Amino acid sequence: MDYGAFRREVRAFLDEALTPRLKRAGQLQTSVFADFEATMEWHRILYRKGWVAPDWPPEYGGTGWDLIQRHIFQEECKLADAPSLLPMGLQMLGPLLIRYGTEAQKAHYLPRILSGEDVWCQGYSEPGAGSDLASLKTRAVRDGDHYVVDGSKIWTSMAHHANRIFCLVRTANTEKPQAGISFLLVDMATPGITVRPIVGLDGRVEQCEVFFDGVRVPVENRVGAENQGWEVAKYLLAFERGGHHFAADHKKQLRRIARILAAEADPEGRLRGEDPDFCARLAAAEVEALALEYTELRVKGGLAAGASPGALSSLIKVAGCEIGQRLDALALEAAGLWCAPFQPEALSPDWTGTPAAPDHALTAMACYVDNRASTIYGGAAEVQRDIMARHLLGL
Amino acid sequence: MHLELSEEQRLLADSIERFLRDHYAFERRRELLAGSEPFGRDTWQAFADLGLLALPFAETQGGLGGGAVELLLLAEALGRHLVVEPYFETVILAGGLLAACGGERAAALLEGIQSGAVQGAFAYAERGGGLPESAVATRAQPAAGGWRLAGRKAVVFNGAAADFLLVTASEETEGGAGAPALFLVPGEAPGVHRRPYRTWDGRSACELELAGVELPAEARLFDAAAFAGAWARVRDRALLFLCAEALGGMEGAFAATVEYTKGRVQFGQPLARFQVVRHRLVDMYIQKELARSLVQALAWHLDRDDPAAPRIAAAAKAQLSAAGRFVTENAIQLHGGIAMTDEYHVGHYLKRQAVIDALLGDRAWHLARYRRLADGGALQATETEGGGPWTSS
Repeated sequence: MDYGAFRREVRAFLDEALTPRLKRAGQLQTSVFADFEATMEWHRILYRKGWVAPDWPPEYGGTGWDLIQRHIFQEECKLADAPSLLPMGLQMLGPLLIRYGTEAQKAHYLPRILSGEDVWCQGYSEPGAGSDLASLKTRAVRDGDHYVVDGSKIWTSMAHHANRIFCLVRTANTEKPQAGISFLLVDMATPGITVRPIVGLDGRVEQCEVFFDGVRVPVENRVGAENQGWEVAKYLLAFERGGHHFAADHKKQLRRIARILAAEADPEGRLRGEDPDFCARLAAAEVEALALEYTELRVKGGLAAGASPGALSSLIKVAGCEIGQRLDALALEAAGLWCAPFQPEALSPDWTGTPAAPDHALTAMACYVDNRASTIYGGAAEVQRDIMARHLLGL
Repeated sequence: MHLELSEEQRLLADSIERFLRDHYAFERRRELLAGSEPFGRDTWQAFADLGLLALPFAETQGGLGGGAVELLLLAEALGRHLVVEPYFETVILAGGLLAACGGERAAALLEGIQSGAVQGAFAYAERGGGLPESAVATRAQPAAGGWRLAGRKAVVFNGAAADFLLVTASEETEGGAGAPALFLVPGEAPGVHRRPYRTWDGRSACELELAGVELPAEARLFDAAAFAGAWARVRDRALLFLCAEALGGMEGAFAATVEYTKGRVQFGQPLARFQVVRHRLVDMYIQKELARSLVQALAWHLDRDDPAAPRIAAAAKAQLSAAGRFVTENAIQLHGGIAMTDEYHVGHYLKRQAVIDALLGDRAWHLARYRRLADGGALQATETEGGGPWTSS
């Protein structure tokens, strides 16, 4: 495999396909999610190219690329400032349906994920069930060929844009709470569903609360057997951990820092980039990011050779998020007082006003604040450490 | 980057591990250190018999032509077993510099090193500077068709046992410290005075005084410019060796700590049941594995003569220093009092780690070096052309 040629091919495509507005959306992305309209526009462009789901098997619409090609593709997308695609359909539900879905479910839903016709959100957490997900209480009671769902979900990213939601619901009260959970696919247009947007610390809406009041869901929308939803859900969480490319994120963060350093002065009037103390701490973080990148390559190389990543996949999630947070803190420090102006509207690619802060400092505070979530979602860092400890200690 | 070992590499790693497990029990190491010998001569001879002393040298120099991955495997095992024998000093440093020099005298000494008969040492440190690159006050002046060396060298590892010393000295006549050139000094030459001692990590070293040591003209192996180039060729392999040794130490300390905390019962349950202990163990594992990735990457780049190797070497030494300290300090903490004793092996990993940190540039020095070598390069894709470290694997 000539990876150099592949990288050039990806680069040439990105050069041509990424419009200035799409790149602007990527540059202004401060969390997992970029501007929604730009995200979906980019999604459709990649769909037409056949590159929207590199991680899926080719028979379902994947690209057939090996792990290294996928790594290169993600890295090039980030470095070209492409907006991130929504992970709920492509990274989470798609692979899960391929593994556990019926033929009818696969035939109906997978093409709509690929085309972008369906936008999915993930109904897992509840007000009383966060890290202890298995204690969830949203009930689904069988009524003929339907389930009737009552309860509420929270931290449901993009529910205000989504037309479908996949949910964990309680279908039995069992001694072991995991044993009474089922996995349902729900149309957001079903009567009885209301969405309450939650304004985040960055002043914008990404998260929502979703309420279910007598929502009727056809039994055929269940994935896996009744009360076997936990196994299905765990598969998704494992995928959520492995499906991220931290090295590419870190490089994008480092480039943002470099731009600030080249423009901003420190309290002594020197350019930040000439402050030896700051540079030493930046170098330390950069070296950690490099160590993480080689760990990602180790795992991907190992997977390609048939090895099991074991505790290393949790390691990548924990260390990748924590290194990312350190890089955000360094960017914030470099931006100095320019971190203070609060202008959420300036982070929209379509905004035409004059921002209070210089362009290179616009995203510093939003990145820093938004990325605090990365050690909370998808299994909090403490839960990840519990998982790793069980793996390492065997008790 | 998948370091899939070849069959030969796997056999090498197995044979080293088996030998050390069978012949290098921690108790034996203690007995050795209680005596007056600087290291175990029988162990050294066994290394020679196993071919380990010839491992990194080119076949044209009588060696086995082992690459960076082979060195990594060896050093990792030596670190795991806390081996005090002067492989780094005699084979990697002195042997590496001789191999870079070439010529008949170097060939004769290399033959002696590979057979186990000859010990060497690299005397570079002085009160004023602790790196091979450092400017030196030791002077080499032309005298009677040769050289006359005068000065003092500090903390010369393996210096007491060395049959020959590779000494840095400045040829400049003016001023204070000058750029180092490299001289070959026989251990028994008149004017060579050695004051030996043990080091905290169980090795031996000496203070070295050169009191007007008369040397022939050919004793100068490299002038200042050539030495800088030669050392640059030896340095990254030497850094790989130290990093891999530190990695082995982390493995040893981590494995012992897992085992101990699972067995030790306090407050009615094994220590490893307490979440605070479990999470600390996880953090040790994270540091160890991130460090391993950089050591493997360094070996990978070195074996391909990749121009990125010096930058990766700086990153690895800086990261291994922080990671190694974190792991070995916490290994002691999680064991408690037992790890503060001389008779238990775990505390000894910390002492070796602390010395490794001080050798060939500490963390701060390598971070600064990394910044110079990166020069914005880390902001780019790993490899802009050629597809990165997978192309030929």
